[in-house]
Amino acid sequence: MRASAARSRTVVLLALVAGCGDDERAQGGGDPSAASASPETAEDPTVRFRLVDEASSRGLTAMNHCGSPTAKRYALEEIGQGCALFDMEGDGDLDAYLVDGCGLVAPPDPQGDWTPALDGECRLFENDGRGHFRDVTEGSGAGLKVFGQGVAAADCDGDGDVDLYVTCWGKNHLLENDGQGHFADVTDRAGVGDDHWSVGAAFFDADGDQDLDLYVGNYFAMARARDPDCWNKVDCPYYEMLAACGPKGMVPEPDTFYVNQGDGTFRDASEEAGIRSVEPRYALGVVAFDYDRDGDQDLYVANDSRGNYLFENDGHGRFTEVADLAGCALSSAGLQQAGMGVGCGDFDGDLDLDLFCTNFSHDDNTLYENDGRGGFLDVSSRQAFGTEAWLALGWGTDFVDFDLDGDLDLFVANGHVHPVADRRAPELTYKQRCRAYLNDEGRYRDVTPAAGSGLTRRASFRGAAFGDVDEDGDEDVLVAAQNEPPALFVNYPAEGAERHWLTLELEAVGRNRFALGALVVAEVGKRRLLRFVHSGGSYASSSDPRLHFGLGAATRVERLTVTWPDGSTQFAADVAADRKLRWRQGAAPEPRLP
Amino acid sequence: MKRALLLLLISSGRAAARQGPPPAIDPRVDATFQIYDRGDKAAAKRELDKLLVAAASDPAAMVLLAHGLDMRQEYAWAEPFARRAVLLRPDFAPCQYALGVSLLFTDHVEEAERVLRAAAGRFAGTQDEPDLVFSLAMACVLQNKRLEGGLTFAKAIELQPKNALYRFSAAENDRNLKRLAEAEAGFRLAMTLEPPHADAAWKLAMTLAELGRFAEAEPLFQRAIAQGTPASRQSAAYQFAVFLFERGRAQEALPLLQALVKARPADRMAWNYLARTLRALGHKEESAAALKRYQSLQAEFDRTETDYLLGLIRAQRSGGRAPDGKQMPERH
Repeated sequence: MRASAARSRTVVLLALVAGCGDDERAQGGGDPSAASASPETAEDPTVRFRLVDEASSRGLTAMNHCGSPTAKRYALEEIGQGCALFDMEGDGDLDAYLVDGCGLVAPPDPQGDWTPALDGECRLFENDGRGHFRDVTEGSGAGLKVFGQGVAAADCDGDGDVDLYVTCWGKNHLLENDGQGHFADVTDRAGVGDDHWSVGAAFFDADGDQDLDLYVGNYFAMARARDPDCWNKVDCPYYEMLAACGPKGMVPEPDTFYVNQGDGTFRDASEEAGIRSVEPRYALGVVAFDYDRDGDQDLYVANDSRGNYLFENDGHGRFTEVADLAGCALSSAGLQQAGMGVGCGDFDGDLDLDLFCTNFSHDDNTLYENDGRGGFLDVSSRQAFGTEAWLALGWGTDFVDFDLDGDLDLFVANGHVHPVADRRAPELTYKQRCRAYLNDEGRYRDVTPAAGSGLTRRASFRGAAFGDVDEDGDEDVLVAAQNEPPALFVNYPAEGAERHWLTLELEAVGRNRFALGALVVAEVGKRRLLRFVHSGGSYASSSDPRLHFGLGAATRVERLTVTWPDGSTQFAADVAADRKLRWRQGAAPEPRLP
Repeated sequence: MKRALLLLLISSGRAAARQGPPPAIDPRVDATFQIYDRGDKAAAKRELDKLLVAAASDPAAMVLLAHGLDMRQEYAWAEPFARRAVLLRPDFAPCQYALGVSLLFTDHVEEAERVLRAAAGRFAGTQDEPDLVFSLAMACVLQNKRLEGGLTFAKAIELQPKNALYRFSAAENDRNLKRLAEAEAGFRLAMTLEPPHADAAWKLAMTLAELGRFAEAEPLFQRAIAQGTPASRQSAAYQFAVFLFERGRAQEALPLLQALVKARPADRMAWNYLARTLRALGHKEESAAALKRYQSLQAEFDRTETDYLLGLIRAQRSGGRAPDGKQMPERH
């Protein structure tokens, strides 16, 4: 700590002299809003990327609404929203969707329920192809005025465009895309209006019939019909302060699983699929992936303050909860952690999928290494996540190859739930920095101070979505912030960085057109890089399903192997780097247009 | 603090440096502890209740009772005696210390911090300062004021550098804060100072494992299992079993875990790791049985915690004080 404090002082002085961030953009413009942030940066030549917050200059200025900014009575006002990066009109660039909440209105009758003020609106932004955004909410049909929480984006009706499922406190909404970025609310027709307090959701093909089913993670009851005392549970002691109550002490809501019936409708199959055979917990982050490499999609659910779920799929869409035995329910210390977000990827390059869970402050975020034999080991304590990570409260996250060197780095959006946390400053603050962790041969270290001026911004960040918004071959990050406009961390290479890349868009046959669940291995020299297509993950957010391979100095991929969702495999050899490819099932990869 | 020293100090009133013989102690104090030590806690409690009234103006009796009960880990019983002692002799550091400690261990940590912070300031430069500062550090870390706790431990260590408990507690705080190099150094000192801290060896082993130095960790675990106190040996055995399981050595972890669940049948996590270990070894039925036991214990724990929380929320709403604590459980 003393060393880092000394380094911080040096860094501040250096930054004052040099003008922080002036040379961090090899291209593109900066964001004036970043200049007001604290210059807590450092030089580290091993960090070959810079994240610059360009939300404002690129047009993502929508204010988030989620209860009072400063006095949050209920957890409803605290847990915040997610966002999505998706291609709404099939023009190849990534558009953005920002879920919004709203205020709360007290009931006239003290025995009634509080209601949403509906003073916020979910916003849709169109990308102009150069990474600049225009608010196109008006008339798009996507401007929901609800108490929104999260979003899952996927082509759930198999018509070739991306639809949006918006989770809410209250009824959820399915917005069907007409392919041009106009959305129709088809919730009732589709039968997916789960009216619990939902947060995380994921589309995936649970039963192997090549259409997308839907898992909805539900939090706790905030309706007198399900917990008559819910609105009376206020002012819970939080250290020497009083703060919103929950989730412990609240009534957990059961999660919901919908089976796609292939005709635009879904059926609630929660009971028959085994999802309701477990006790309800407080679900937040949800991701679908094949943890045991048996060819079907399993589910991992990050539960707040309770053990996480791992639902093992029998291949027919029936699930058995196995997290305790698999070792990914708790931390290695036996703690039921406050699971918020979840990332999934092969961080150690051994060709199986590992997990990363973000948790509450004064606790580790948990890195679960897949042992390849159906189990996970909590290897968090062997990482150099550092003191700041332990003090921070994590939300949106994923494994991302920021520096395009082939291994997966980590991003975590942070922010406390309770504004009163500021009374504990500097140890606890409501507004916190997002953090980046560099993968050094399977061991993470915190490189936040060296990873660009964007990460000096402090906010109460929540959901994060990942994708290449400026089409330069690397992944950028969109992050929702409580009661503030979002951050858009645009990724720039450090000067002289050798970073080749390959982007793959998969197109499967059948109704799972975006190939959710597909696995691709790229062979680059002696390395094999595994990536997979998924929806869900992070916190209440949805990322671009296209796959990104960092190739470092390599200019070619010797061999690409795709395992399609139906289990068939295909190969492509000697693929040149620095290209965006579309790979249709049964055909050869071809350049993606435009 | 030793009883004789306590008596001498309270009779002299160190602040005023008065001289005089130790006060006569109400014989019921010793009699009550004898009843307690014989195992009749209910009778001891009845005597204590009487003493709280009968000896209410006797500071020596009050502080001795508080101190004695703290030593017997009856912190909730100690609290009213400590409060009375502070009222009678606010200038006497052991009274403040006894109150601070009884509050710390009855989960009234905020009040403990206030008492100890004031006392640490008031008795700065006295021989009581180190323990007051150390207890203040504990109050900080129990409220997750880890950074301040670290600084406060450092001050206690400065005052008493050869105290293994101080070194150990500071190292544990460093380990929580992921300052593993500092934690390693602290645990090493806590092992070598006299008397060494009973848990230092296996905590050092855990720290080394976290640093990836597995070969160094293993003999330390073995040493802790062989040489520690009974409780320390069990903790070391559990951590060593986890270490072995995580290193893919389930066969070696198995007997440790089997012994643990026999010795501590309500140890949730021992059952959890036993289930995982049995599964890794292919013993499916035994694994399922161990898992069932773990899940039942976990469910009971969750129920108890929820009931406690709901009671806490109700107490908060009615403006009352929670009977045995006022903190929400940690959210992890």
